[in-house]
Amino acid sequence: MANACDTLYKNTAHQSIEEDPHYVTAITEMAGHKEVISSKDIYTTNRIKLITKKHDN
Amino acid sequence: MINHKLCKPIDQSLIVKNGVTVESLAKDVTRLIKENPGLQYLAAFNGDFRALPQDLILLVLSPHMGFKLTVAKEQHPDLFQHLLLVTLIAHYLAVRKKLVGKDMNNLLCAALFHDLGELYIDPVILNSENHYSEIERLHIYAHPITGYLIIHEVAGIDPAVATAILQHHERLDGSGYPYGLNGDAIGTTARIISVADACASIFARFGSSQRLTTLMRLNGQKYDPELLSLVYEGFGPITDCTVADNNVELPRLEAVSTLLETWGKFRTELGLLASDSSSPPGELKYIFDRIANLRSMLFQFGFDPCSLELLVDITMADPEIAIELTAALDELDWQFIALEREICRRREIIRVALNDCENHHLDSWTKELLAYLATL
Repeated sequence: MANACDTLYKNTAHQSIEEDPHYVTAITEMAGHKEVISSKDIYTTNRIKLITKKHDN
Repeated sequence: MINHKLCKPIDQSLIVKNGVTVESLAKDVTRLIKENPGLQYLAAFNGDFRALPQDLILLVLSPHMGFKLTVAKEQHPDLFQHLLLVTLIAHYLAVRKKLVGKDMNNLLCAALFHDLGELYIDPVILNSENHYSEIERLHIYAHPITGYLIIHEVAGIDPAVATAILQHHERLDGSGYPYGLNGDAIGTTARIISVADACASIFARFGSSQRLTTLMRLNGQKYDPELLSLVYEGFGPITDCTVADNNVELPRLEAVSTLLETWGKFRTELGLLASDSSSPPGELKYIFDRIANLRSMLFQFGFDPCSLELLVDITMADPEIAIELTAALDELDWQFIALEREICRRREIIRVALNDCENHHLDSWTKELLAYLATL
């Protein structure tokens, strides 16, 4: 039973990181009042480019 | 963005201007010390309150971790403040324990990052003052693992830091989470962080050394006793504790008395002797130990369920005892909240160890406990 709990906690932790809506929401909100820049292109796991790297001028 | 699964963590591709750096951390800690007289005593205990800011500046903070700390500072200021406070208390303990070099660096990193797993939890859960649902508890119990996974992936951070974060909610008596480790299985860094974490929470709530005294009394088996004594020395003589009107405490004392009486009946149902030294089944042992500890603390106040009014009269006549009693009852409430969570978390394991009648008694007691907690 203890191992079942351990697995449940591990799965929850992995899920929190992989599907991180709360963290991404916090970043999005932060970007409203602090300058957040993409240093690399951001892709989804199926290779769709969501954000292009901002180039220095 | 929320609806997409990214090929790597989003903050590895982002930079924030004017984010958290080791220099800004040093400034924030200095400000924290200046604004809190109680912390000045602790910070200067070793002779120089600039010691922590100076040690922080020597840390190597990757842009990735700086980004996470910036998110904490900007969007979860209470969490960021907590990280700084834990780092301050942990640093003091580490100095007293004579940690130096790599061990000190790891300790500071573990303290600064220990609750970053909470960035991935719904803020509604973290800010909830109600009792957690089963799903919500799952996220709370998983956050040390989340923190571990985040730090484990970052290049340049010693694996010992991730391990300390994983263990920072474990307790020496096995009552912690996520794995219920006990004794020597919990490393020194994690022990320091866990004591600093508990003290920071109490300090933030009350700003009082009276509460710390009670914490030491109630938690001798959960935390490293040497660290608890060092914390008490470090916080020094702070006495700005608010005292409740002790007539108000009478209903609380009566409710606690009823809870302990019903618990005694449950013990009898299990065929255990009235003394606290008899042994319950394995999975229940920690609950019995915890309640024995609470009873012992109350007995030190001359707690007699038959003459609670007399206890209230005595405490009203002596302001120092009144402060202690209020602190003890507040801490008792927190201990009961933690106990209820633990029982709920392990309920299915306990259920297997008990027969139907015993399970019924435990369920009834838990309902009584929840009813009491609902009045707080």
